[in-house]
Amino acid sequence: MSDWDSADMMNVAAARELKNGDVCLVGVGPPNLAANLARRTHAPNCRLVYESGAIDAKPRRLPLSIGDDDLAATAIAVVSVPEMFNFWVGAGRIDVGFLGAAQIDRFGNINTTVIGSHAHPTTRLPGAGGAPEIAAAAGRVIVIVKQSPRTFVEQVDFVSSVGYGPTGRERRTPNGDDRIAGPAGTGPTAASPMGAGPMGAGPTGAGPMGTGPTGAGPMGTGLTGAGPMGAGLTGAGLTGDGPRGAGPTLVITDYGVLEPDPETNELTMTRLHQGVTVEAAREATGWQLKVADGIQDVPPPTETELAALRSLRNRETADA
Amino acid sequence: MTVPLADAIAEHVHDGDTVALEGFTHLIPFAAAHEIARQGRRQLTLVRMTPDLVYDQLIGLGVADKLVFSYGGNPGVGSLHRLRDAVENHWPHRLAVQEHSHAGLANAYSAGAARLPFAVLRGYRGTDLEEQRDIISRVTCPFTGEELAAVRAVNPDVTVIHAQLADRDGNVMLWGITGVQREAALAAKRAIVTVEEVVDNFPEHTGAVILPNWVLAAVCVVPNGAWPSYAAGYSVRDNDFYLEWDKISRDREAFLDWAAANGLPAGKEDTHV
Repeated sequence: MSDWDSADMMNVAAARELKNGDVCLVGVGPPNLAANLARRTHAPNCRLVYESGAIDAKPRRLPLSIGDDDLAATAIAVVSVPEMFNFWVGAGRIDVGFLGAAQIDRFGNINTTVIGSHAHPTTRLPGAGGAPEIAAAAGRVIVIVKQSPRTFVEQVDFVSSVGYGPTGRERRTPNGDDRIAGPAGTGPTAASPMGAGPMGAGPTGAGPMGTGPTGAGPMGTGLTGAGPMGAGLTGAGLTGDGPRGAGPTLVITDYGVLEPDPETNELTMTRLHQGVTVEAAREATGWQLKVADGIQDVPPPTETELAALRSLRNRETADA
Repeated sequence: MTVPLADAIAEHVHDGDTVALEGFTHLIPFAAAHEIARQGRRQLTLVRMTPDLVYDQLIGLGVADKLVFSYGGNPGVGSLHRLRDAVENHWPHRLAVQEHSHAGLANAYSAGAARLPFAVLRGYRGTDLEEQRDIISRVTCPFTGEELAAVRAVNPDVTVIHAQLADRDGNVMLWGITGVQREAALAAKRAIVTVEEVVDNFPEHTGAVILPNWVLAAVCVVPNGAWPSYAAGYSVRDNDFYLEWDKISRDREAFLDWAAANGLPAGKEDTHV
C-alpha cells in the first residue's frame, strides 16, 4: 500500500472538481485544503474567495483560519463581511461553494448546528456560519464530509443549510426545471406574481432571466452572461423565490463520490476510491444507499497531488 | 482624547447590557474583553458573528447569560469547549442562544447601523434557523412579490472593536480584514475602540475604514490589544495559542487555572439560574 489513505483521497478528489477560472468560496477545514490543493496543481487560476472578505486570495501557505493575514495580504480586494454576503455570495457571484457537514441526509440537507434538539442539544456544534447562503446561492455546491452512519443519517437533527429540501423536490432537478415547492413548503413557485421561470440552466451558464419586469431589460445586462472566465452571476434568473444555485451537485467522502439522482435528487454513490467496496460504502451510510449502475473508480492520487498535499499540510510556503 | 481602558469599560459597560465585541478573526478586542471580565460584569448578552476564543473565555468566566452568534467554533481547530459546556451542561450556568447565519447577523448589524427595524436577504429559507421567529421571519417584496427572509436589527448597548490607529482627535482607522466592525460600531448606542497607537496624521491607505470621533464613546490605547488575534501591520495571528486553547478549554480545571494565572475572576457556578 502506498503512503496515502482514503482521507487524502477525499481531499484530492475534491480538488480535482475545481476548474481553472472557477470562483470558489472556501470554508475552514477540508474545503480549505482542497481548494488550495487545486491552486497548487491543475487549477492555478482558480479564484479563492474567503468569507472574511478576501477576494482572489493567493495564500502562500495553507491558512489556519479563514481570516489569516496572508489572505488579506495576497487578495486582489478585501471587502466587508456584509458586502461579501450581499454583493458576492447572495448575488450569485460564486461558482463553487465548498461545505462541510456534521450530518447530511439523502437529499443533501446539512446539519452543522446541534445533535439533539436545539433547546437541549446533546452536542452543540459550531452553527451555520456562512453555509446557508452559500448553499442557496453558489452556482454549485461541493460537500466534503467523511462517510459514516453517524454522519450520513436518515434525517438530520437540524437543517442548517438546504440541499434539495426534505423531499428532494424543493429545488430544480439537475436536469430540468420541475422545482415543485418552496423550501419550507410554501407552495408552487409560480405563486409568485412574477411567475418564476426555470431556475437557471447550470452552474456557470446564465439561466433564463425570468420573464417578469424585474428580470428582463437593460439592467440585466452584464449580470447574466457568464463569460469565458466565468464572470457574471452564476446563479439563475433574478426572479423567483428560494434557493437559486444548483445545490449539492457533488458529495465527496473518504469512500468516494455521491451525486444527486437526475430524477429524484437522491444522493447516489457514483464513484469509489481505490480499495473501497460498495458493501463498505453501504455500511457507512445510515440510509439505504443507492449505487449507480456501472459505478466508476476514482483514479488514485498522482505523485504531484500527494506532494502538494503534504506540502500544504506541513504549512510550507509556495510562490503565490 | 484617549482614556484608560479600565475607565472606558467602567463607564460604558454595565451588568445586563447587550455587548458586541467584533472582529472577524482579525482585530479581535481581547484586552477589552479581559477588562470586562476583570471588572466582574455579569448577565451580559454577548453578540458576535464568530464567538471565537474571546467569547469562549467570557462564557467560561460566567460573564454571559445569552449569546447571539452565527459560527461558534475555533476556526481551523475545532470546538469552543467552554461554549459547549455552557450549552450542553449549563456550566458555569445556563446560556441562552440565538443564532443566525453569517449573512443574517451581518445584515442585522447593517440594519442596526441604519436604524432600520429589519434587513432583507435571500438566505435562511428552508432552514430550521427560521424557527427563531422573534429574530428571523419572512417578508414579501412590494415590487416583485418575491418572498424573502427578514432579520431583526441588532443594536448593541455597547460595541467594542480594536483598530490600528487613532489620531489626536480620536478618529479611528483600521484596515486589512475589516469584517463587520463598521456596522457593529454604528449599530451600537456606545462604541469603544482600542487602538495600537496614536498618530498625528493617518497614513494614506486605500481600503481603510475610518470611524469619526463623533460616533465613538471612547478610544483607548492598548498596544497588542488583539492578541492572540492580530492587527495587520503590527502583529500576526498567534495560531499556536489558538491550538493551545483547545487543550486549555477542554477541561474545567485547566480553564480555571488559566483564568487565575491571568487575573481573570471566574463567576460562581449557578449564581443566578
